[in-house]
Amino acid sequence: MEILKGRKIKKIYGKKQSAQEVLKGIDLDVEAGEYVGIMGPSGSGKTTLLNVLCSIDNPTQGTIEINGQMLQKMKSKQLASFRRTEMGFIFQDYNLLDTLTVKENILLPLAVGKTNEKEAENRCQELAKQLGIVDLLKKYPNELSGGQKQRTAAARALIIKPSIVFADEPTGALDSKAASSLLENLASLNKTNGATIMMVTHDPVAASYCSRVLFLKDGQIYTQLYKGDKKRTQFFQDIMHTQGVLGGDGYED
Amino acid sequence: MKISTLILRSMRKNIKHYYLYFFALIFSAALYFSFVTLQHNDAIDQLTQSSIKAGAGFKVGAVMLVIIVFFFVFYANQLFLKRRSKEIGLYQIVGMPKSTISYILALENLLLWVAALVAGILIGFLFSRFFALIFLKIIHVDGLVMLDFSFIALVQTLIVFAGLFIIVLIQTTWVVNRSTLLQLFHTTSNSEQKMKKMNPIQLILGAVGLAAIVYGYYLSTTIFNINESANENTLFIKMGVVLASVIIGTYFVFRFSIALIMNAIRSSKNGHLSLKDVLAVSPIMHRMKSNALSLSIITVLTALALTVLSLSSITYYSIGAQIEQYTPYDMSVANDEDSAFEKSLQAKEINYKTDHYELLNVPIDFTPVMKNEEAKQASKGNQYSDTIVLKESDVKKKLPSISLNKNEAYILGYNSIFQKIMPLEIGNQMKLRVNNSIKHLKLIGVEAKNSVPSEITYGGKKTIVLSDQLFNQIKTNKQILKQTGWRTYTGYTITNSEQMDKAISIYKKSTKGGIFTSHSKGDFAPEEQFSIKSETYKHSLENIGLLIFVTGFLGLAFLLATGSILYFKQMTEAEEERESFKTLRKIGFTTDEIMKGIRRKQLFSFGIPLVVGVCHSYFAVKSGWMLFGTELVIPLVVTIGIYIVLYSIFAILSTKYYRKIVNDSLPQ
Ligand SMILES: Nc1ncnc2c1ncn2[C@@H]1O[C@H](COP(=O)(O)OP(=O)(O)O)[C@@H](O)[C@H]1O
Ligand SMILES: [Mg+2]
Repeated sequence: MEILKGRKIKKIYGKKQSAQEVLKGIDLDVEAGEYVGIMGPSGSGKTTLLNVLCSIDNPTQGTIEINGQMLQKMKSKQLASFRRTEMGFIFQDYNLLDTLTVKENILLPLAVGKTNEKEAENRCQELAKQLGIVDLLKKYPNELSGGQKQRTAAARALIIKPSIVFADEPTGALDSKAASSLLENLASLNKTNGATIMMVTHDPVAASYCSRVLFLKDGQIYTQLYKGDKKRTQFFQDIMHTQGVLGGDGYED
Repeated sequence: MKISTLILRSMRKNIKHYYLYFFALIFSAALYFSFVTLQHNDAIDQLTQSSIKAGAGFKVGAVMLVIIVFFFVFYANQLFLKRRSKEIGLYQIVGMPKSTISYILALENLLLWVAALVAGILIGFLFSRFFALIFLKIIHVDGLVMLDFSFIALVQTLIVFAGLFIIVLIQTTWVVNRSTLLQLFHTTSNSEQKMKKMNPIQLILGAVGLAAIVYGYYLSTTIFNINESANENTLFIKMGVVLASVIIGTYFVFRFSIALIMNAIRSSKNGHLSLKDVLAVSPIMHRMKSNALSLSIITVLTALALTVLSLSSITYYSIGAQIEQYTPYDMSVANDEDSAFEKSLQAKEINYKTDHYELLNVPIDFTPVMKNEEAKQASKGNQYSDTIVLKESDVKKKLPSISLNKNEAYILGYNSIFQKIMPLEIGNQMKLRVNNSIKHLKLIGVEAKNSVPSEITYGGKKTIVLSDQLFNQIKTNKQILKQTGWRTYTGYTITNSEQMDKAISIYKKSTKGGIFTSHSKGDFAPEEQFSIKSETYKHSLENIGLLIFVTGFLGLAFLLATGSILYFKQMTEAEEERESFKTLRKIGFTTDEIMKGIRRKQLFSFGIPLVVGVCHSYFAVKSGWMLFGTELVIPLVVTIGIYIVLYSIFAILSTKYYRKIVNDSLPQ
C-alpha cells in the first residue's frame, strides 16, 4: 500500500527576479514500511523536499497524498493532528525548546490530549537508554553537545511510535557509535513496527541502512537504488559508486 | 560605504524594532505637550475662580510627568538596545570602532527623536482640546476653551526632551562601550537563568517575601490605631515600615516565591508537562531572574497609581457629602438676626423653607464612651469640654430617624476619621455638668452628619442631641445660658434652585455677607462668617476637580507607561520564542492549542502585577481613606474597574501579537 504519493512537486523560493526553483517537478511514491534514504549534494533541495512531503512547507506546485489523503485539501488542524500523532521528526537543526529539560523535550509531543503517563515514562526511559542520554534527562539543551541534542531530538521523534518518520541528517552530528545506535533504532522501528522512514543523509553508511536510496540533483531525482536482498556492505558499495558518478561536489555539509 | 548610507540601510532593515521605540517617544511627547499646553493656557486659569490657581496644580503635575516620561523613555531605549544587540555586534565584527558605533546610534536617535517630537507635538496639540473639555466637565463648568498653540509649551517641551535625549545618548554610549562581542550576541539568552534545583536559601527568601507583604498589610490596618501610634513619629515610622516591607516583599515574591511555586508544580509533573505548562510555566521560570526587578517596579507603580487615583476619586466623590456635613443648609442665620433677609425674600417672591434650632453650650465628659485607653488618658485633667447641645424635636426636621428617651443622647457630626481614630462605645454613659450637679446620659447612637453648620460647632466638633424635656430643663439654668454664644440657628433651604443666585445676593446684602455676632465673650472672636452652600460647593469642585484632573492625567500616564512596557516586553519575548512556536507547529500543535498556553502566560504576565498592585493599593487606601472623604466602596470600585479595563487592552494587544507570530511561523 502506498503511504505517500507526490506528483509534480515544484518549489520556488523568492519572487520574480530572484526566484530560485529548488524542486523542479518531483514524482515520488513510498510504500508503507519502506526505509527511504535521500542523498544529494549540499543545497540540492533535500531539506526542502522533506519539508514539503511532511506538510511543514507548501509546494509551489504539485500534490502530495498521505494515506490516500491529499494534503492540499486537508485543513491545517487535521494536518497538525496527523503530524502530532502519526509522524516523527528529526530536524537538521534539532529544534529543541531551550526552556525545557531533555526529558520534557522528549515528552513534548504528548503534551496535549490523554496519554498514559506510566507508559510514556517507560518509553522515555527505554529510548534514553538506547540513545545513551539517561544521564542528561534533567539537563537543558544549552548544556548539551550537538550530538546529545540530536539524540534528544531523535527520542522526541520516536516517543509517539510514529507510523512515518522524517529525519533530516539525523546522524550528522553524531560520533559513529551514537550514529549506529540511532540507525539501529530507526531500523528496528522500521522492521518491528512497520514504520515508514524517510531519511535525508550525506553519509553512505547511514544510507546503507535504507531499503531504497534516492539521489537528488538540480531539483530532480537523478536516480534511485534498491537494496533488495543485497548485504548492507554491498549496498554501501553501490551507494559509494553512484555518488562517485554523480560527482563529488559538496558532499560534506 | 559612507556612514550615512549605513545608517539609512540599517534603519530600513530594522524598521520593526524602531516602531516600538518610535511609538514610545511620540506618545511621551504628545502627553507632555498636551499637559503643558493646558498648564500655560490663560483661558483655563480664568474659567476657574478658585483661590488656588490652577497653575500650581499643573506645575506639580508637569514635574511628575517628566519623571514618568523619563523612566518610560529610558526603559524603552534599553529594550531597543537589547533588541539590536546583534546588529551592534555585527558592526564590531566588521571592525568598526565603538566610538563610531555610538556615533551612528546617536545620529539615528537624533533622526528618530526629531520625527517623534514633531509628530508628538501635533498629536499633543489635538489632544489638549480633548483634555481641556474633560477638565471643564469635571469642574462642572460649561464653556468652550479656545486653545491657541502655546509657544511657551513648545519651548518647555523642547527643553525637557532635549534633556531626555542627552540622557538617552549617555545610556546608549555606556551600553555600547561596556559591551563585549560575546555579550552582544547572547543578550537574548544570557540574562536568563538556568533552572537549577531550588536551594534552601531561595526557599526561605520566597517564604520571607510572602510574609513581608502579609506583615505590611497587617501593619497598614493598624496605622491609625491611636493606642499604638500615639505620636506622629511612630506614625511615620510605621508608614515607612509598611512601605519597605511591602516593596521588598513584592520583589522577593517575584524573584523567589513565584519561582518556588512554579518549580514545585513543574517538579511534580516529572517531565510530563502539558502544552500550557510548556508555553506558560517554563518560559516564565526561565526569565524570572531577569524579569523580577522590572515586574516588581511595574507592580509598585501600578499600586501607587491606583492608590493616588482612588484617593482623589474618593475625595471628588465625597465633595457633596463633605459639604452636607459642614454646611447642611443653603444659607444660615444665627441668633435670630434675620428680619431683613426674610422680608426681602418674601418681597422678591422667592420660595424657601426654614429649620429653626435652639442651642445650648454645655460641658460634657466624653471619657466614659471612649473605647481607647489612650484617648481616655489624653483627656484626663480636662475631662469636661464645652459642647453644642441640640433639641430632639429640632433635629428631627433634618434627621428624622433620631428618637430619644429622657437621659439618652445622640452624637452628631462625628465623622469617619474620628470614628476610626477615636471610636465610641455606644451604650455607655457620658457625664453632663450643670452647675455642680452631674447628669448621666446614655449614648445610643453616633452620626457623621450634622444638622447645624461647622461655624456653629466651632469647626466641626461633635454635637449632642438631647430629649426636649431634658433640654428645656437645662435651658432654665442661667449659667449655661450665659456661656452659650449661639442661642439660635436658622437654616434656609431655597426650594427652587433657579432662584438660588437671586437669594444669595439678597442674603449677602442683608447680612453683610453672612456675618453674625456671637454672644460669647470667651476665646472666640464674636463675629463669624457663615458659608453659603452652593458657593462652597463650587469652590471645592474647582480645587478638587483640579486635583482629580491632574492625578487622573498622571494616572493615565502611569497606566500607559506600565502597560506599554509590559506590552513591549511581551513583544520581545514573543520574538525570542518564535523558533519554539515554529517547532511546536512543526511537530503538530495547532495555533489554537498554542494560543491556549500563550493566553495563560499573558494572564500571568499582566495579571500578576495587576492583582498584586490592586491588593497593595486596596490596603493602602483602606488604611487612610477616611482622611480624604466619606465614601469608600463606589469610588474605589469605579477607579480600579476603569484601570483594569484600560490595562486589559494591552494584554489583548499582546495576545494578538503572539497570535500573529505563531500563525506566521509556518507557511500554512
Ligand atoms: N526559506 C528559504 N528561502 C529561500 N531559499 C531557501 C530557503 N530554504 C532553502 N533555500 C534554498 O534552497 C536551496 C536548497 O536548500 P535545502 O533544501 O536546505 O538544501 P539541502 O538540504 O539539500 O542542503 C538552497 O540553495 C537554499 O539556499
Ligand atoms: Mg539540508
